[in-house]
Amino acid sequence: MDIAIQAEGLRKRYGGKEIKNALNGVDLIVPAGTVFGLLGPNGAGKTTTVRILATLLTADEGEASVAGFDVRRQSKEVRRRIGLTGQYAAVDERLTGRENLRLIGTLYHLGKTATRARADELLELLDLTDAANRAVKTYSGGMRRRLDLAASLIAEPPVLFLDEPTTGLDLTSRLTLWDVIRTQVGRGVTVLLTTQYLEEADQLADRIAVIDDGAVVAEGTPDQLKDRVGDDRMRVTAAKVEDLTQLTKVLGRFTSDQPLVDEEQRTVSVPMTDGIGGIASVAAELAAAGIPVSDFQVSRPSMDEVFLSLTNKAATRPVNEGAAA
Amino acid sequence: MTVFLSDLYAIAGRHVHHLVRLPEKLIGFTVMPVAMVLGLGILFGGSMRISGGGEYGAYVAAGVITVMAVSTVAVSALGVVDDLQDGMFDRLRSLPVDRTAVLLGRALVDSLPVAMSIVGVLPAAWIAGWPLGLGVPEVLAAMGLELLLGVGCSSLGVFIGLTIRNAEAVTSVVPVCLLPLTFLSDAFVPLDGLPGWLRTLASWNPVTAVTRTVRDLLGAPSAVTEMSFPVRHAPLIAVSFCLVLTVVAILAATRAYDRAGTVR
Repeated sequence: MDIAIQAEGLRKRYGGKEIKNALNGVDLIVPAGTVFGLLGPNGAGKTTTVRILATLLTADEGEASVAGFDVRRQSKEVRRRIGLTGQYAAVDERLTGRENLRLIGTLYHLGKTATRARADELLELLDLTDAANRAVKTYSGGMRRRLDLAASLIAEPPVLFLDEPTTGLDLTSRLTLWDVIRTQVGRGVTVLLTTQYLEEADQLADRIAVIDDGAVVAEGTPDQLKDRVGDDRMRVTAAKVEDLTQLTKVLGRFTSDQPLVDEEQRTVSVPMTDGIGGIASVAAELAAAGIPVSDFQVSRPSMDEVFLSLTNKAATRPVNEGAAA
Repeated sequence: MTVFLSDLYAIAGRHVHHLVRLPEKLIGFTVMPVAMVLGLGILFGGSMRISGGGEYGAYVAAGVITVMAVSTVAVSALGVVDDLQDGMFDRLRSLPVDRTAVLLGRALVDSLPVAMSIVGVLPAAWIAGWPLGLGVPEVLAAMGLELLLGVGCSSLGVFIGLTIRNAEAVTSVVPVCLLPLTFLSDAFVPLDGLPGWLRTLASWNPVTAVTRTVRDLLGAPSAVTEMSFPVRHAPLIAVSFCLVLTVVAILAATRAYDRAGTVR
């Protein structure tokens, strides 16, 4: 198995006491031709990791190689083999879409004919042909993002870094991007994807690393991560927000762990125990306590719950792996 | 080397597109110096006495062009801050492009509007009746020197933009730093009224050297009364300053460029 991206003990500190975005020893191994999802809250260090691997930043400590080249000592070789799509659409506002792609193709030293052909092909693929001769400043957010992705694909790099490529996009644009990313993977491209959308990681990634406070706190396939949180969960939604504390207390009796509380949704969830019998006793207890319930569900853990239980919140509300199994 | 040149060409092409798409910059560099030369020449022309004779309007024309060349510091610094903030520098830094080409390409194109300043000022001064010797080779040489100063100052601006990284800070810091450079020169006022030590300082000022050289090329009055070393060697001082400034600023800027990857 070829390794496309490898990182060992990456550390990065920013000046001052600021710990946001810092890395405290990140290890990653991404086999060639797979999609690796880097998942974590804002400031966890996802972007810092990508920037180090894409040679934009130098790590204080640790080693990393991309496509077989060391990111520090052979950065130019790395840059020939990567495409980067950042959180902020990095295209030139005043150039047209086509001019942007041609400029970037030229800077990859593709040669004039290849650059032109490839630019037109990508404009077509990303549905930008009609807007190709318009200045990018007239583009919508989704069009810009698609152009940014096209820019990172123009040299057909074997390794793609996508830093929150769909943040803030509407569903159609997101689906288009997912489609393009899947096509790239089909051609053997390795993708490192950071996202805040758990669904995106679930949909696209072969493996996911959950990163929090600058370290990888869990890694595995989406299913393995869901298993770590446990089997099916019971999800109860209180009708009134003031009942939330009481609801948490009642459900707490059915688990040895802390229930997961989503205050915005007024939902409390616990691992399901005793099958149908468990559901019946929870229902009976809720009726006895006189808590009005607007919804009661049993389902597999969502990526949200995986995320909540693995990231920072896990420290205050630990999830015991064995209890639910 | 071919890679460097092709990168330089591509990057310069990008900035030329900007110049054409945003003609305000070119127009500004043409209209502003014309207004300054006419305004200063007419307002102060009566009360300014140029030792050795000549019209103040003709005297100040070269000074205004030089000041326009110096002002490219701010233009380039702001352009770089823009590129840093909208992620364009991240894009460029992730490509296998020569970093010197990225920075020099901008400096070269950012200095081009200075040529427009000359194109505007010379006819304006001539029409206003301030005799300038407009021989083609001399005008081209003057334009070349002002462009060279523009490249040096743009390079400095690129370095400042990469270091300060904030548009507001650039607009407040850069003019303050440039003020002594332009006012402590003979761009606007002849030096013979200055006390001795200040006159020495001002005559060594590269802005003075460039302005004097351009005045000589254009046959404009220069108000020089003593042939001191910096006066005799103004062209040499002017050209070497511009070259050294360009090289030093671009080298410093490439170092700053390597560190430009901090998470915002």
